[in-house]
Amino acid sequence: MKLFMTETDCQGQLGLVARFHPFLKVQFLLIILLCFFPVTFANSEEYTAQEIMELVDRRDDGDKSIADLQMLLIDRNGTQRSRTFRSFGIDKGEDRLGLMFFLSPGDVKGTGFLTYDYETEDKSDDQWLYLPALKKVKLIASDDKSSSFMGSDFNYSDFTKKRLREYTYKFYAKQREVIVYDQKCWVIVSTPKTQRVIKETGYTQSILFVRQDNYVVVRAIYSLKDEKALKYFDVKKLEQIDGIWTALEIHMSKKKGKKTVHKTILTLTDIKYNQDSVNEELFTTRQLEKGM
Amino acid sequence: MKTIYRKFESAFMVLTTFVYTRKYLVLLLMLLLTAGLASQLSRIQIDTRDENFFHEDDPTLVAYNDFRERFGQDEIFIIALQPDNGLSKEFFHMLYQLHSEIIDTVPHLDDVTSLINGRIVHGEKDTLFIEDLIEAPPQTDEEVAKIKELIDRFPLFENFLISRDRSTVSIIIKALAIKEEQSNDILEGFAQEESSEVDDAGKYLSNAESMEVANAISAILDKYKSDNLNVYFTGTPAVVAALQQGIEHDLSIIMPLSCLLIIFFLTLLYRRISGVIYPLLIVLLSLLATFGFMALVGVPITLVSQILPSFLLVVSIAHTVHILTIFYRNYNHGGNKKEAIVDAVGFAGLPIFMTSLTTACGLFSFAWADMATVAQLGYIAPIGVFFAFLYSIVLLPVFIAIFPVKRRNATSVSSTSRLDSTFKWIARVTTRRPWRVALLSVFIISVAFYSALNVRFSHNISTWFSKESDIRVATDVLDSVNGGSVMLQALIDTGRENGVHNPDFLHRLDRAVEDISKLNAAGIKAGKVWALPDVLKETNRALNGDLDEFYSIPENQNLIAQELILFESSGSDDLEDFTDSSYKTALLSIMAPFADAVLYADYADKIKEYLQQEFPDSKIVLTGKLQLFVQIVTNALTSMAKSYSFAIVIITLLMILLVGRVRIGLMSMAANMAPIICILGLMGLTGIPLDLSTMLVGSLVLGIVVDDTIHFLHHFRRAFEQTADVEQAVLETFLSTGRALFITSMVLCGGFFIYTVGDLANNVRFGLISGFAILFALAADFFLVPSLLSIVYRKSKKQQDICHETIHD
Repeated sequence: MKLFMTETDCQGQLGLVARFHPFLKVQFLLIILLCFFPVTFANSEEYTAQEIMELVDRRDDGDKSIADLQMLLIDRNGTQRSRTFRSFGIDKGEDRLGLMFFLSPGDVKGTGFLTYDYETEDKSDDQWLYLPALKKVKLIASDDKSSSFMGSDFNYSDFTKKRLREYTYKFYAKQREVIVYDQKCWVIVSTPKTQRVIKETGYTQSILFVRQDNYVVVRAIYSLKDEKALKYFDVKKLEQIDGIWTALEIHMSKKKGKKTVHKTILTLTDIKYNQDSVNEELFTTRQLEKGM
Repeated sequence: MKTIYRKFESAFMVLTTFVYTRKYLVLLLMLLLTAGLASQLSRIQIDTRDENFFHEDDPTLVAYNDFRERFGQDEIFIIALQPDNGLSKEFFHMLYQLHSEIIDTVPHLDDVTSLINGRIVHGEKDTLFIEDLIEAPPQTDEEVAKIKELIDRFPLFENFLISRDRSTVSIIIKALAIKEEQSNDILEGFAQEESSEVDDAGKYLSNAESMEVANAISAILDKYKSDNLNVYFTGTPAVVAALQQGIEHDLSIIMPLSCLLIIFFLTLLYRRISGVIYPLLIVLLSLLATFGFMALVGVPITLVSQILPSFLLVVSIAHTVHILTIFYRNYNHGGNKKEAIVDAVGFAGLPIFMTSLTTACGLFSFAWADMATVAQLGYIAPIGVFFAFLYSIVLLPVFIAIFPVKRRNATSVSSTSRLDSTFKWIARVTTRRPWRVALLSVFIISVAFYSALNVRFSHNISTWFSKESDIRVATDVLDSVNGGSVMLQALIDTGRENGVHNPDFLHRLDRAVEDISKLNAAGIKAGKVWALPDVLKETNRALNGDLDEFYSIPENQNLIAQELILFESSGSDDLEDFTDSSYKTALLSIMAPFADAVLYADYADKIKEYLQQEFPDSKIVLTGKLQLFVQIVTNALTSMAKSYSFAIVIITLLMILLVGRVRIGLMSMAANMAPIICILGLMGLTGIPLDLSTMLVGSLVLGIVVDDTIHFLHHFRRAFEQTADVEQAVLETFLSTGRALFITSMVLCGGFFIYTVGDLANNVRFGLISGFAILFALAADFFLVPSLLSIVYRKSKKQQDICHETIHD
């Protein structure tokens, strides 16, 4: 339960979210990686599921980003609530730093979160919360990333990069390939290797739809640990911004059987990468207290 | 009038002659009909859910369903664990394992809550901890001590997840309110998303599915029970499940025993195989057809319609006995078999038709009941009555035509002479001293009426189980340690978005939690009351270094909003336990002990009154299981009042129509009302309450007594035509119809008294009351009816002559 994500690393099914989302930045660049670890299979047409996920993982998802986020929360009765944020993200070595402030609704404006998302699993992520009405910064201690992100259907683990070594990947037995929005996608089942990962992410299994042309995960189905429900992740709008594939609209629906019990529509606007104003000094508790 | 009677008689005789001649064809047709309906039987369902008592458009049910759609399930299964060795390391290990096993194996689950995943927010200096109370089973005694310390810090757990005395730990299980319709291919989920935002899969969990949940939990618990761990399983859905098992169990014992008893009585009275087999076969076939029909039209067996087997038993046995008694008499007196049965059906056919008509109309009056299950009975029971009539009138002649019947000397049964002399005595007394008998009856009825004023209404399902039954013990344990297991939900609608963020509103809500916790109305005191301020205070304390002085509601509205964002981010599902997603409506949850729904009504009224006073600008809606119980009582009372008044009016009109004379019709109704008053008097005397099962006995009594009266009057009329002497006519009636009435009454009485072997107290009471009802009905027809007839017919010689002439017209 708890706020924020922790560790980093790569699986990048949500790399797109990660990309724009400041908290979650991939560290290493594709080119560098390719230099250090040449991949012999890169030209092969017949990738294994594992190899595909490595491609996903290495995809460039941007750095030094600024974006405005809107979260539309829709409950089972169709009641809608909107929450908007401004978020900043930066990669620091293999770790990711993120800073985010509420823009609306008015009574929570200025409420801020600062996150340090560490690559190594030996170190818990650090998350700080700032409540302007309390004028205090609080460090939030929790290993659990499976609870709701700001009341939405995303959880904190959705915004962190998964460590490939913690999962086994194989093609979805019923259908290895599908067409999603006119694009060929591989369908890959990702299963956590340990109970710790299940507890941390809240997911017992994921089915990932990876676009074959750009290695973006455009759809996913998550099986929840604590209840018999599925979460459907669906990228409705995907564009290249500064050459980086970025998801601009994502729907995340929690479903029990055929019934949608809750849904979140996340939209991103004004995304900018490689901003000089986004530097490491921004990601401090002092800045959190100061506001935007 | 006479000619109409004659026409009916000849019509029945023609019919019987036809049936007798074409016996095999008719038998085949009847068997085909029965087999067709009986083939549906596998689809029949038992449904004991409380929602079932309501019509779909009943405002209480609408509010309850609306609540379930917005806030999820309110009904909870509760597992209570009492470890002999207290809260030890081993206990927490077991609890951890049990909690996981329930999540992994129980179907249709929505949510499982226990100390394991109890949410805690606490602070140390500048660090905020948001975690599950027991993230992993404790390994050391220090860890156990730490857990216990944390439990003490969070009042929300108390009397919910753990009892105040720390002796009992609970696991709260919610089944899904809305059924999940599984897709065969989970990939389809995306397509459904695109096609419609709101799907129509809004089906509530069925009784059978709820039973699956209950059975799955029971099966797991059996593995955990041990010498040093007491395990209890209750909660309103568990009570409903136990009730269903109770009904199934009782029916499986009572029905066969009831049949055996009827066989015994019929054997004793007729001493003929045919006299035993035919009535039983006809009862059985009528039941098969009726229940097959219920399955066909999708009407479930409910707490109310479980009365049907008894009812149809009464009706069918009466029909067949009336025909058979006359048939045997004709046959034994040397008549030919065909003539004997044609004559018997010709004679008894009209009263049987009349009794069927009055019974069906009386029952149909239930169709307007406010209680859905009672209304269902109003549609189904008349159909059952029709089947009983059809099978008796048609099949009896067929059986007699096909199988041989032994001729026997009429006087061979020794008990007959004793019975006959008793009948003679009754006929003499009632006709020679009619006023005395009538006045004595009036006296008895007055006493009964006075006693009936003490009858109270009651609806408390838990008392239907014996004190030693698992469910009752579990419910009592929960009531005593936690103060209850029945939920009442108060919705306080501020009318505007974020209205719940208002500090003044939250302060009032906090005060309401405290006041309602202390409220003791109608002997009911809530075990636990909670609302949003409880979690807010915890969060505020944690954000302020865990200092107790900050266990309070913040004064700043923005801070409240910000703290709630923190709360939402630490497990968003919890939010719907306290408020809706737009923070417009606050939820006040009250957990009350099991009590009589009549008392719940007072309790809920007090709470509503209090809340309306405290929140004059908000809209207050009470719902939840407790409110359903309250409304069940209200609906039961209005249903009873409406249905019985209606039934009595209809039956009176029919009696007048069928008897053909207003005065005799009214007189007979007076005799018909007497047993009902006597039954109520008996209930007042013995303290048996009117409840969902005993309230239906009235329909049974009315059915029986009206039938008896019709048979009696019908025979009396014929006899009086011949003798023109009241005493002679009454005696003649006693010796024929009276005998049949006596036989059917004895048979049915025994059949009902058998109910007292049932496990469920409501079945025992139902059996007792119905048994006595039959005796009272018989007494009314044997004593009150002849004395009233004497009074009416003998009022003056002149009047009698006029009557006589009228009858001969």
